[in-house]
Amino acid sequence: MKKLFLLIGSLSFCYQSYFTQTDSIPSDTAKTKEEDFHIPVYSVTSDESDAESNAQDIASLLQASRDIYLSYGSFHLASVNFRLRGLPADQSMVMINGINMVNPELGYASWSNWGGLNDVMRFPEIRIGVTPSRYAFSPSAGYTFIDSRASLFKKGTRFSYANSNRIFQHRVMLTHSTGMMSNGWAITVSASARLSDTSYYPGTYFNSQSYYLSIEKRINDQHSIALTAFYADIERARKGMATQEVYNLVGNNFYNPYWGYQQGKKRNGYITNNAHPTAILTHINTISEKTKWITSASFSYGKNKSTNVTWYDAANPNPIYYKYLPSYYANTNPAYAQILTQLWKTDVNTQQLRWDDFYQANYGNLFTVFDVDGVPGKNFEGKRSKYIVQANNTDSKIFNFSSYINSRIDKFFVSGGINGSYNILHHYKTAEDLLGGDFWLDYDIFARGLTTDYLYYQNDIEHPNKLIRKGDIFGYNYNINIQRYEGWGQVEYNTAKVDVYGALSLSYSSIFRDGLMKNGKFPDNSKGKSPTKTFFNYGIKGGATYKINGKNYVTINAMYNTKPTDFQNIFISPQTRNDYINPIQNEECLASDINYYANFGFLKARATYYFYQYKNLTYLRSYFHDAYNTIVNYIMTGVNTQHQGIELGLEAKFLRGFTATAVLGYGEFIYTNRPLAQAWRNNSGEQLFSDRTVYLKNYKIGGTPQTVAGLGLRYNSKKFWYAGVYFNYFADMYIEPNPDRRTEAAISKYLPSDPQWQQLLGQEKLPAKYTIDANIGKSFRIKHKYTLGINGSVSNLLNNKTIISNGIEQLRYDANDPMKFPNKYNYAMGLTYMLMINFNF
Amino acid sequence: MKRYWSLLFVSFFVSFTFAQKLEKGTNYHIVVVGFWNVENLYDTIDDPKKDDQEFLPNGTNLWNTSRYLRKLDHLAEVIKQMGEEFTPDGPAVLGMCEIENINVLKDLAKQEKIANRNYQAILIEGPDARGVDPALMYNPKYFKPEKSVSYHVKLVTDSAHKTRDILVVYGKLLGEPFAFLVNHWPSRRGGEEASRPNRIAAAKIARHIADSITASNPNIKIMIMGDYNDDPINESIKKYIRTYDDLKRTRDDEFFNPMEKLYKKGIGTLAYQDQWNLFDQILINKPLLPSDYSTLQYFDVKIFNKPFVRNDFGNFRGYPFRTIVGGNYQGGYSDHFAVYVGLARKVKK
Repeated sequence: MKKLFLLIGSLSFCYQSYFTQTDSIPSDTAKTKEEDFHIPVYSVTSDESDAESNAQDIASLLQASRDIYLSYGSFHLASVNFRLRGLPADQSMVMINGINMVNPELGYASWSNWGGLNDVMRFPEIRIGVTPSRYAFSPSAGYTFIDSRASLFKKGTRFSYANSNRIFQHRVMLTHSTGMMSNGWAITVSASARLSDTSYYPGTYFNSQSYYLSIEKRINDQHSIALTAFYADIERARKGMATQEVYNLVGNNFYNPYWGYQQGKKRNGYITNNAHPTAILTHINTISEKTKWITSASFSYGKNKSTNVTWYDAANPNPIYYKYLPSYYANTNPAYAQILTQLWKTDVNTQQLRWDDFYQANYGNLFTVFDVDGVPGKNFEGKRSKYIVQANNTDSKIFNFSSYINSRIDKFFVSGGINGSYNILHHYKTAEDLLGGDFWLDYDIFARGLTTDYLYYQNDIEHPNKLIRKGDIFGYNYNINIQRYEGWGQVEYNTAKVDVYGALSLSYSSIFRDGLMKNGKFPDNSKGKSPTKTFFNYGIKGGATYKINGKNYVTINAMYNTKPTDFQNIFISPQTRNDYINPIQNEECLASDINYYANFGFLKARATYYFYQYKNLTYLRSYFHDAYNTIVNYIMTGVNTQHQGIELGLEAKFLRGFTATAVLGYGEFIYTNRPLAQAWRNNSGEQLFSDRTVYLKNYKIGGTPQTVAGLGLRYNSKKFWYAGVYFNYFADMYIEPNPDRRTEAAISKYLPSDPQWQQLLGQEKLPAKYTIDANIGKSFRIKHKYTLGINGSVSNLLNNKTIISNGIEQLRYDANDPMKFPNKYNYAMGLTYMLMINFNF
Repeated sequence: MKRYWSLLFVSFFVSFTFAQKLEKGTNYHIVVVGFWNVENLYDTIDDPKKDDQEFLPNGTNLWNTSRYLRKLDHLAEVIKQMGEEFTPDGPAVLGMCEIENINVLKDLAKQEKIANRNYQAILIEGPDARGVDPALMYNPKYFKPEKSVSYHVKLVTDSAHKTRDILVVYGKLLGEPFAFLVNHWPSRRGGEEASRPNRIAAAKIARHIADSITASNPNIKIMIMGDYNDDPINESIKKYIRTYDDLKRTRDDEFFNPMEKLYKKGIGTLAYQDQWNLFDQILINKPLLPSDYSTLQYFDVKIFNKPFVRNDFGNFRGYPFRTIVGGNYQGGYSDHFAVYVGLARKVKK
């Protein structure tokens, strides 16, 4: 008979202790040994209030490694637009060497500005969600802090070559670092080129060269100065979305309407050029071992150009214009629909841009312009382009500074500082290619019919009838001037069992528009400065970490902050006039999360529940509105959203060399109210309507999967090779709703039982899909000094070509015939691979 | 056959201590015995017989006098505070490793913060290519050494490279016979599994030494300490030294490992990829187990991980505050936390 006894945990008390010094032998201790002389005596009392001070400290949560959930999602689910917690891009902060890299107009940082410089932008400090930040007040999605200075790179050279079929075909990177030399200097240089004749989607390509230089001088153990400069010069030819009808006609889910043949060569009409050279000067003052003071200043001068094909007095050049599709004739002229269907299936000139036809149209358009530049009698006869390639340009000059202190004072860690930026964003349009013509005329064709006043439809009444040549600015020309200044502070307090923190931010922002072109529609309100709008904002944040023991932690965080109205939406029509939207309100954010971290050696995990709310967001689009038959500026204000859900990231090591990763994200991202919409006629400034209720409540936020799951298995061999396979699942991807369809005006004619009701109000949910990725690699050590690595990875191993990665509802819609302008989609790439060799010496 | 199952009640406690019960109101003498891997304690002088090139003023670490002195001051600061809660004398005996030579220990002993303790040092130069060795510092008021020996450890996986010896020091600690084994086992370079046979080989040697000592004198108190490059639950410790973690279930022929329970709670002495390892341990034999404290016996274990020895800046905050990371001078303490145990003996009346 066996009895099984289980022990009950015994109570253990901790006694406070103190010691007494006895320098002399007590009188009744004649037998005390020689060695007891001068040895302190220690005695225990039962004072429990001091138990804490003798208790073993539990270390704070370590977070140097990449978060399992975020890194899995960012890598394996990028093709379907994975976004952490579905949050908008302006809720993340990216800093390099202390400078916030945000474009203040867009609200987010563009990673492409240092694209290709992977070698020197590695190992960022990433914290996600509501989190303390020691560098600035971080927003609700968290921050990425990249410390990129010459002294941080190991001495040596690294060369890599990669071959791929996804974006670039070839990539070469070369990095060399001197390491910190004995004279106190360190230099690191890096350069890379990404080249392709064609990327995965037909008619696209990607070419870039990137450069990086960092020089650092360690003046002494206290002061150090670093100058880091970099830029990436990128040109990429884009892919456009299309309706499913078009994909079906062409028989290819990767059909791209943005290119065509010109004299037998592929040419893309929608090209983006981006170059944003940046220089950052950083001073690090290690005042003491416990205090650092870091000051940075930066200047960035950027050029961003995005082309498209435009036309005047000619057929729409867009091959997928709705009147070029068989569906448009299905009911009225079925025979013609048949012919079109055949052409779509077989004729590349039906499918793609007809460059040769554009040139022919331009060659044949001999035109006389009267009163060129408004000079009476100054006439010009030449080929007036009906088609041109034009570019929307944004040149930016961004000045930034930041200064902050980090200091440990006993159990407190104190951070605080100030930062500011001064930004000028110059927006203008240029004529890139006249396509065989001699000039283009800069008229607002939508304004043409409204009046006989010939100045009214001029975009530049100071140079009416100007002959626009290649490279000339036309259409619109204005600066947006933005300033932002912030003061912030944070206190962290660490005890043996609990860490707490609180942070506060106060900021001032201002914006104004400075028009550089006098527009005929708004002669008094287009050129010159608009009034300045200023915003005073604040943020508070706090949280606690309860350290159950060194293997289990629970954290809870909450924040509330305000920020200015989205600067992309704050002007009704910034291309033409100085008017602001109304009302202008601060956006508000209330965010909270609760997390559990487990670290059991063989198992690492994070489980999170988050709840975020945003209020007073804005929405602004300019598009051709079918009901009013004109271009409208459509604005929604007071938009509220909510993001809540759970995240789980888990990594387990088992057997010998196996690592399993499992991630799960289950979220709900929705609109939570009924915002008000207003619309303005773009060509006159007449308000078409205001205070129109948009029934957006409970519609899903589109553009990102709300449910994601992943399961990865990787084997690491003792012989330095590895192989992994990853199963990725994504679901609940919705298409962002066109607000105007969810209004009484849109459905006024219908009853819930009518099919049009659902066609107008329904929100499309994209089908759930899964993909499989795999990777394999091996590293070699050569002569104990050099390392060679070979890595191969494959995404979408099953070559699934039916995955819709995102879609849009067309803004133009016909309330009488909702299916006339169906949704457009983009399909995720099929099987893509990357093979990389890197060599360190 | 019947089996009775009882419900297990487990109580959770905020107070986080592994202290044994010392009687209230009784006077004890406390001896603190510690161990610390101090991370590359080198002087600035070139020793032609060793590869100390990195740690010279013109070496890759730019190891000059001011950095050397700051390091000594930092180490002294920690040594001063180790065990201060029990005795103002701090550690009576301190095993150390990654020591270049006896001179650096002499310099360390003279540091202002600990000079009054008059620390002495024992170090035997071994065959390690980088020239670092384990060592023992002791307060002569508490410990009188009698004999010191070192034992070679042979690498199983790589006969070309040499690793650190095991230092054994015999002596009297407050009059009682003690033997201290100071270890620095082979690293995990190349992978834990691949290098495991080396640490097992070291474990066998350590265990053999301990067995020989016990065979000739069963009452001698043995403390096997070191940076084992293995955690308390790894084979080398559990199976080859043979250790147990629970004082309620003692085993006569095994060593008690006070660090094992700490390790299971996630406390560690160094971190890698956000996980704590507890490579630095002090193992004690049967005569040291707590009973009546009529002789020196174990009562508490601590890891010295106070905020000031932790890195406070950057992505690796919370990790031990190191002196050098990847060739970059940080000016901290060590990549390992120090550990210590408290021994107590009732004051005789």
